[in-house]
Amino acid sequence: MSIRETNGKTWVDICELNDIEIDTGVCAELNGEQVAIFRVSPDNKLYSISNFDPLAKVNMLSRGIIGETEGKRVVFSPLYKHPFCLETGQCTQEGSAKVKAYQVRAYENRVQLRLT
Amino acid sequence: MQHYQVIVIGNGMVGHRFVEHMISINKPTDSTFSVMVFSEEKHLAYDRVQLSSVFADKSEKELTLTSKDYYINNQVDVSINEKVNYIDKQSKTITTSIGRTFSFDKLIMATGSYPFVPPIKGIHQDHIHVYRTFEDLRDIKSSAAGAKTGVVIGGGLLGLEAANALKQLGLETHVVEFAPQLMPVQVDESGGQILRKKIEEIGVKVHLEKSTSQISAGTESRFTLNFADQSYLDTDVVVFSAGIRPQDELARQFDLDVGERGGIVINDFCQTSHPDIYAIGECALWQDKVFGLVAPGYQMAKVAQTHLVEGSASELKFEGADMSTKLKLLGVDVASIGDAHGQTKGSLSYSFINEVEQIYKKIVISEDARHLLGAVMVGCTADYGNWIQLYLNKIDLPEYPESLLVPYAEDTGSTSGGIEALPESAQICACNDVSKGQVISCIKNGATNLAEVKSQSNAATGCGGCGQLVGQVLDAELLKLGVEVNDHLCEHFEYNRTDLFDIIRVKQIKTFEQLISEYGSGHGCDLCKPAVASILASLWNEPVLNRNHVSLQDTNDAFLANMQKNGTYSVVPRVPGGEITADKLIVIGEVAKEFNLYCKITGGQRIDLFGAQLHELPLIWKKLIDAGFETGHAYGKALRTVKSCVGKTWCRFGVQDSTSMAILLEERYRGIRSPHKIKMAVSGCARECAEAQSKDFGVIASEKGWNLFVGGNGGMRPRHADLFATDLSDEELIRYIDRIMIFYIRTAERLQRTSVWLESLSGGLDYLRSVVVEDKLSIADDMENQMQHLINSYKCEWKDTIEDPQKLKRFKHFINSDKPDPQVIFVEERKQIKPAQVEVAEAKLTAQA
Repeated sequence: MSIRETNGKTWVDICELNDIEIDTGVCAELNGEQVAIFRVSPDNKLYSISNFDPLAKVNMLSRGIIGETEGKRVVFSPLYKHPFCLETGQCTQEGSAKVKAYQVRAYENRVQLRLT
Repeated sequence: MQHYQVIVIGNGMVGHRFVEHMISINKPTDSTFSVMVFSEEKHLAYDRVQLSSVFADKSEKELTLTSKDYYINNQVDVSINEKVNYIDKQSKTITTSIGRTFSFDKLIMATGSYPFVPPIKGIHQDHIHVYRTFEDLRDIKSSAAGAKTGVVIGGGLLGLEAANALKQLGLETHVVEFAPQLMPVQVDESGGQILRKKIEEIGVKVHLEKSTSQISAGTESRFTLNFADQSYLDTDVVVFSAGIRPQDELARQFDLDVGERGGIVINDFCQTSHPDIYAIGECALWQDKVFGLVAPGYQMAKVAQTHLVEGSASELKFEGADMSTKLKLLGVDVASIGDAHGQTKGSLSYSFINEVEQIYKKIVISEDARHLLGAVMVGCTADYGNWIQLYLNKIDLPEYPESLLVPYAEDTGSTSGGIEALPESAQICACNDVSKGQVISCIKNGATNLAEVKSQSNAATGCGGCGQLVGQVLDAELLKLGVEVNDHLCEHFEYNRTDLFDIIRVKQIKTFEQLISEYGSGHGCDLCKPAVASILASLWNEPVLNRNHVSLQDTNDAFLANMQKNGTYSVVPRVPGGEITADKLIVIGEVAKEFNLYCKITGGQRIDLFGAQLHELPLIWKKLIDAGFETGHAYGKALRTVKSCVGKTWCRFGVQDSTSMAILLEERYRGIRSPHKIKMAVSGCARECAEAQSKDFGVIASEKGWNLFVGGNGGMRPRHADLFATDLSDEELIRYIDRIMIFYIRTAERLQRTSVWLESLSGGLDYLRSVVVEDKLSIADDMENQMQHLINSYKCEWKDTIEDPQKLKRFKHFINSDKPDPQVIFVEERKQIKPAQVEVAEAKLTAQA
């Protein structure tokens, strides 16, 4: 299901909000891309960045531990524990590594990604 | 490959140390060595330095340094109660007191010393003893029964030790000394006076300048000691402690060079006048000196062993030893450094007497006032560590050397004796000869705490006396490297793991959110979340994928499988004790075939199945669980496996049923979360086929039961486990493992294996025994209850997961599609799958598109 809004943005329906356990992530398929979506306490905010860890070269960022380092909300990649900023996709440890960030929202208890 | 037969005569502290060095030859050599040991004593090596503690708080067993099992397990052939009586240098053989003859390629004489007893009339009677062995102590003890008074003849170091023993036995104790002061070798006259005062205060009577001329029968007591000055003393027990003499009888008899006043002459490599015969310890005479302390003996053991193994290539030499010493005698602190008597030409001295607290200190300095040459301390030895470094490293003294003596002038300490002033060549740990530079290089290579420094450098792992000094070097170096020195778990908790464990236990905290809101800050990270998850599991044992805990789990725990380099997982079902039926093997094979998994036999006697994708994990586990398997916790910081041999059921050498014990242990401790992974093994006899000594908990069968070893490790830093207890029944074995495991869970740091934990445990193995065996902290019941709770609340996490639809939701690659990850690509090697190289995977993907 897709929703096209009057302002031209298209939001793609992904899953129920409750399909994502608090402080964990899932991976969604969006137009052939793998996208990690995280549901983060304390206010259940959603974040979304690419699921591909460019350092480990594996699709699994959605399976990392969510945390905080130097004031930034990050996901620690499961294999080699590189932290990636949930807002920007920037790796906070290896400056050269950055992944794409996506727009995500909760809409009537559904999780939606913006089609770009 | 050449084979050498090595025979060691004597099994005292130094002889034993030599054998330990032989056991731990870690360099590959062109030769092999067999070691035989003969001891005329009834006991294997024990800690003679602490002999008198047998009268206080220690048992003979606690002073024992080794065991027959240890020797047997390490292929050392040891015979006690068997004296070597004859050495044939030409045919290179020895013959023992029971007539057995053995040939040797290399012979080590570690015969030690014997107590000197002056030729006095009347000494050959009952109740007149020397002070040297366990037997002597037992004899003294039985003489003390029904006796009132005891006299020690000799007011030196050992004499005061013996006086302490008599006092512990409840005797009115006297010390008789020939010289005008006590401890004439180590302290000067003023020090001797303070020492005498302090000792008399605790009720020991001191008689100086007395020469005993005769021991005759007493009237009210057993004896009367008659002195040369016509005075006398009545007593019931006499202990001679008038010095030691090298035990060189064999050397004299069979024509090895000995010194004029005794001692087997050795060169810098500890060789005697016969190049294949070495002498080490108190029987040896180096440059006309006998060394009556254990540390130089240990050095000789190392030198001799190195030379024996490496031959002429060996560069390690014995270069004499510093006889400085610090000790507590009859409760009085006494220390002596270098030239305590100021005998160096032109030397100057300063001294300090505090009559209120009865403290005496003296420093002897060089003529130019630049270097410390010696020192004496009585009543307070707090400065010893500092001063010995000034002395050994010839560090420049402060402008006013007397400032060393004044205790409150603390700021001068940092400029003169501070750790910064030490050169890198300075020896920090005398037991294991570790320099400051070696400690620093450990820190530069990444060691950030005392435990790591100890394990990497061996510093502070002997007597432990230099622990504080090593800590100072560590702090100073970390500061230089800009590392903030604290043991906080991470930026979110200003506590270490042990603190957090106590908080969670006492405050009954059940979730990470509660803990971080009350005791931490921020939102947590990949360090604190898994650490707290582990603590919560160790205490409350709720399934790790429960909603409250799932977000805390580390990579492998999060999906109950081990993530491999390409993001797929490996699966390990539990195979307790490595015992498995043919039917179960077939099931594993069928599952592997169905899901096309790579199969590998693990070192822990089970089967690892690789290449499972996220969505396949529940399907695989459904089949395994239906066939009677359960999770193997290969993904958890928890008990992995209990490896075993087949034991006496099949093996013709086995003495116990090791497989049944391994299964019992594995099923008892399965799933218990701990600070790091735990490995165990059970061997059915001393041949040790299960390699139990490389495990966190090793169990080796003995004729009478089980010997328990703890703290072993393989991997990056191999460590042989320490023998914790011997000849245990099944119940005792389990009770001890229960307690040790809980104590480890409660007190270890995050990701600290038992080996490092044990080494960093203050008081080490003895302390662990006092907690586990004697229940010194009165927590044994509590620990057993915790263990029982963990055992009772065990659930197979995979069974729990496949029965819970909410938990299963996470086991899909895409939340909005049933497809697997299209980028996981395998290629074939030796008829099995393996992850494709990234380039190959990319090429395949392009071709598919």
